[in-house]
Amino acid sequence: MSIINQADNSAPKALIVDDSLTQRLLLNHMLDELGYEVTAAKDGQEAINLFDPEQVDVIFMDIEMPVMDGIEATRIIRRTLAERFIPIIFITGGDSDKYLDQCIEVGGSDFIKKPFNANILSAKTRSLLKIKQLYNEQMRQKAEIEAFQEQETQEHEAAAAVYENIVSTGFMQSPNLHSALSPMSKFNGDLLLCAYTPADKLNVLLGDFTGHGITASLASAPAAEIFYGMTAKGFGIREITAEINFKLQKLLPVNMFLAATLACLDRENHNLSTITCGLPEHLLFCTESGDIKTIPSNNLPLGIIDSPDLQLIEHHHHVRSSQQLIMFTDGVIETENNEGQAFDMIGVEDCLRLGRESCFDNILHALDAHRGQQAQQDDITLVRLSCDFSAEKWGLHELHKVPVHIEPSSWKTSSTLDFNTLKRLNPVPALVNSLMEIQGLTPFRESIFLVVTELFVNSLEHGLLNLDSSLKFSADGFAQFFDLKQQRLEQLSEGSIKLIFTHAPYNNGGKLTIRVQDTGDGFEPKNISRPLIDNQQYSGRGLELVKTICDSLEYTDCGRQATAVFIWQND
Amino acid sequence: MSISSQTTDNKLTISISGRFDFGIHKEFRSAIDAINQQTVHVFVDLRTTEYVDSSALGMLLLLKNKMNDHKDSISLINAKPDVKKILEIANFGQLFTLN
Repeated sequence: MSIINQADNSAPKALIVDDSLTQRLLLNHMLDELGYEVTAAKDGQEAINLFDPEQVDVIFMDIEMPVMDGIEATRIIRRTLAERFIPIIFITGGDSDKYLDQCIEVGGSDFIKKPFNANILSAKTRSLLKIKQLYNEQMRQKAEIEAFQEQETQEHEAAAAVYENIVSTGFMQSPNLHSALSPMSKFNGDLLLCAYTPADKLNVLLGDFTGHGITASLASAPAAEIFYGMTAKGFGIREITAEINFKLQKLLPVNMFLAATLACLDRENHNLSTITCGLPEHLLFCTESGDIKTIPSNNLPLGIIDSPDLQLIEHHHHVRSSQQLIMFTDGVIETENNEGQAFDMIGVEDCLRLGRESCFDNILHALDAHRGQQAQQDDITLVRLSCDFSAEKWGLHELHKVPVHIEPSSWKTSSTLDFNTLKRLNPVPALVNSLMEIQGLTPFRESIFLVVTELFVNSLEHGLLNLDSSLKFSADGFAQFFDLKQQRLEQLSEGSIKLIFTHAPYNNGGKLTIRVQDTGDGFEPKNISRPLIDNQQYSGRGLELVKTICDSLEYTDCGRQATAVFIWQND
Repeated sequence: MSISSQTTDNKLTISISGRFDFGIHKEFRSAIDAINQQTVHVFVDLRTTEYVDSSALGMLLLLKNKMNDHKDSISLINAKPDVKKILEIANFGQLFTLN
């Protein structure tokens, strides 16, 4: 009769430890009948010498023996086994009952009384071997889980490092941007990106992915790459937002999206543009007057619908140096106190009015105080974008320039953009990039970008769209100007703008002539320009800046053609 | 049970009580499994919904996807002001009928 279902179907192995030869033979015989392979030892010491944990499934241990008794031998065997489990059954009889407590204490699993009954022996060994099997299985699973956890921790750390590099590469410290980020885990579901365009505008992206942790962070990489790449090329936040939406819509599962705000701070026009997509309303706060203007979310979060269906609403705010844009993710206003009350928008506004200059720290302190002993429930990111345009602060960032030396040569290139193209895209980044490649003008990229942008924008706004700059003199008019621009651009049904770039070697460098022509009704350039020196207004500086950068600027054909000459020298 | 649903005249109504967040995504998924070719409209009743988070918005997008992205085929109804506010921040009015 074979009784034991071993996992590997081999015969179970028993070790008998007894000083009585008769007992050893008797037990050996009975176990043999039950299908065991048996080894025997005559005392505790011999048992320890013989004992091999791989070769024993169950031990029968007498208590009183010479040399080393069963209690001591069990103590030693249990120590050797550490976390492994082999059942040890004590053989009892006569007056050995007094040792029972000690047997259990040193790790005995069960007792069997002399004289042995075959049925009881069979049942006991069976159930103990079953326990051993379960125990070993559990140990194996535990080891597997530990190994898995170890591997996961390592991978998590490596992924966190990669994520950190992707998100921070290209991140430019800006004196205008302050932030407090407190991620719930190594990965942050919140995303903050910031970079300057070649025309010295500051682009900022604050985002919050659905969920937290690794899933939420996974899609940060493509978003960050698009943001930095397009900002460096001079694209506006509208194009960047559309591109990120396009990419995420393709990439993310249906139930995931990115709530985000893109903001662009334009020092030259004292303009703050915002595209808000699903974050809680932002606050435009004036540290002087204490006024708070709320900027609500106007668009769907990104990654939900196809870009062609995305009608992005962009807002333009005319800002002063004393104003700050306060942005945060929903973790801030949803932070609950001990009573389960949320911090909410009123909490934030109170801090702003109370704090003025130090409002940012106030919000953080108030948030900590509000939370008290409560565990943090969500990623929390708080951002302050200061509209302080004072030059010494603004010019701090360094641009990465990689000059490529190409011998100055003579060439000409031109592009004509018809009204349909003008509705859809801003051609300046792509055109300026091509100039960089033809002549290696990267060191002058910023200047050339600014000149081309100014001339192009004037041709579009004043030449083709007949917009009146004086609108921009008042805060209301400022917003109206942009609305009107959008409206007229959409209605545009004729006209084109031609950009012609001519280059020739000149002295130790070259001469780049930038000509911009439009088919509009013409305009008086003096009307859109006023001297920089006494310009307290927020517009009209563009052409004056172009004059300071270029060697000459001339408007001909009633304003329909602008010609700027930019002379560059090798060091 | 924080989610209950019933179908009448090929119109599915899903009622969600308490917190509408990741904790009930399994229940929500099995509720929208009831959608089939015959389903003409889905009502998500938020009368007793206390809270909505971004994963709930994600679940609503799954529902929309299941209804083949037809804006007019899903109504989010009876939302309390707090819940409605979250839906408005996300501009979900562009994707669903809110009332």
